[in-house]
Amino acid sequence: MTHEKWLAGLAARARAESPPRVDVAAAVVAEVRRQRPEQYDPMAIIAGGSVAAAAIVVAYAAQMWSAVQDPIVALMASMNVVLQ
Amino acid sequence: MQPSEAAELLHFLLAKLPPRDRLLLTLMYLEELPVARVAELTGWTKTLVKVQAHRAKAKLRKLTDGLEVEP
Repeated sequence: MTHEKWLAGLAARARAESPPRVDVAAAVVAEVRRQRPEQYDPMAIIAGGSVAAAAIVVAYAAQMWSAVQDPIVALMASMNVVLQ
Repeated sequence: MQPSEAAELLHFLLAKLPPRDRLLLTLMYLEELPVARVAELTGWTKTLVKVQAHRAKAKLRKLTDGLEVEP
């Protein structure tokens, strides 16, 4: 066998080599599971603050409304005007 | 010979050659490109490719003689 044929044969065998299969799925899944989930939800905090602000506004508005609806308040207001 | 062993041997031998010779033999034998395509890729003339390939193979033969690798 000539050297050229030997080289061609060696190259042909080398081309038949297949790369090793590396499965990284298990490592990736383990890393994902190892990561801790977030302790809080930012949107939940914003929603809670909005609810608190709305509750304060509603309480103040209810207070004002009851004050407006109270007839004694109107009477007293008119009496004050007369007394003055 | 297993493909992995053949690949290891071939790359070991090619690594001992100068870059120009290594490129030529890689293109011609591993990539199985014709002389015209090798000339196009390297920017050399076809004659130069043939001459360089002949010299590269001679160097490789010297290496294998020294390593006592059976042809």
